[in-house]
Amino acid sequence: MRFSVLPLLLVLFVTSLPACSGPTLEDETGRWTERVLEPAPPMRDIMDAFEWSMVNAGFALGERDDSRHTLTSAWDLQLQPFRNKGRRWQGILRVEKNAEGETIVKSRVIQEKNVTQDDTLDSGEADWERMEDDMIRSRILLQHLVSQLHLAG
Amino acid sequence: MAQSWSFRKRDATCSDCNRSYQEGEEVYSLLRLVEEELQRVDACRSCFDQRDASQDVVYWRTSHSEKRGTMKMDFDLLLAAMEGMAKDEREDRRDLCYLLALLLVRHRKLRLERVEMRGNKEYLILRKIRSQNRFPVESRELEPERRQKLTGILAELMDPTAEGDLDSALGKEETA
Repeated sequence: MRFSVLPLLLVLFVTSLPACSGPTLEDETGRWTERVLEPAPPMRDIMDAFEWSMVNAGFALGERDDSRHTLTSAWDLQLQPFRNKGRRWQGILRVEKNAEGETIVKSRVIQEKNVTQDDTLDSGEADWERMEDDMIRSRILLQHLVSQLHLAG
Repeated sequence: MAQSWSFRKRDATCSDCNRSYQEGEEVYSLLRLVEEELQRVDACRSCFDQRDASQDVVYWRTSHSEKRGTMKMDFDLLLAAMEGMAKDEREDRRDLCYLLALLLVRHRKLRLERVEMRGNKEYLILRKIRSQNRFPVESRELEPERRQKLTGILAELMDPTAEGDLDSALGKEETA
């Protein structure tokens, strides 16, 4: 029986496209804090401001994705000797256009707790479980961003 | 007073009476709000004493020198001005207080501890470095024009003789 492998390859190629464009956008579903930027500075300036804001808010820099206009911090780790008390946070800053064509900047802080029962002070043994996003820290992050962007003009 | 004040440069004359300063003479630099407009004035002692003090935001004293190229405001003075305005209920003061708070947070003179929602308003809870006292400053949504005007004046306040932007002015301040 003869069949062509071309359709199969095509399907495989199409399904692998999202993986090529970077990590999945799981952060889209989180709780964001946002603010309209008017007038909006150049994108490069905004991305640079993201980096300063992230550092000033206490996060180590992680991945800067200029194509998605997103900066993701490294995990800010706070291990504790008791189960469920250890925490880690990751900040995300993003700039995009809303439906009205305005430029908006958004912040989000993902929060997770360490649920491992064993060595709670060993980050290698940690077992992280997602919690509610940290809205307070997200607002603080956005205020740091505002301090960078509003005072630069 | 100060009808034709230039934000770009401090003149060698009083903003009010236009009298030329003598070498070493006391000069009072004043930031004031007049009908929501932030103004900066450099006045001689006589004109300073006759001012309407209710419009003051902050003032500081210096001495005139022909040789000195720049006159800068230090962060402690800004901090004192902001603390005073933090208790002021007037809308224009709150706007300026918020921007000053952001400026001081940006330059790590204030620590932004957390934010609190009180009703539908957001407050920054701030703490001075090496202090345990915390105080709130309301987060404001400023119109772009007003924000740009206020931040422009703040930039000049940091270094009124500089022709550069806020970043360059603040860079000089920190390295001074």
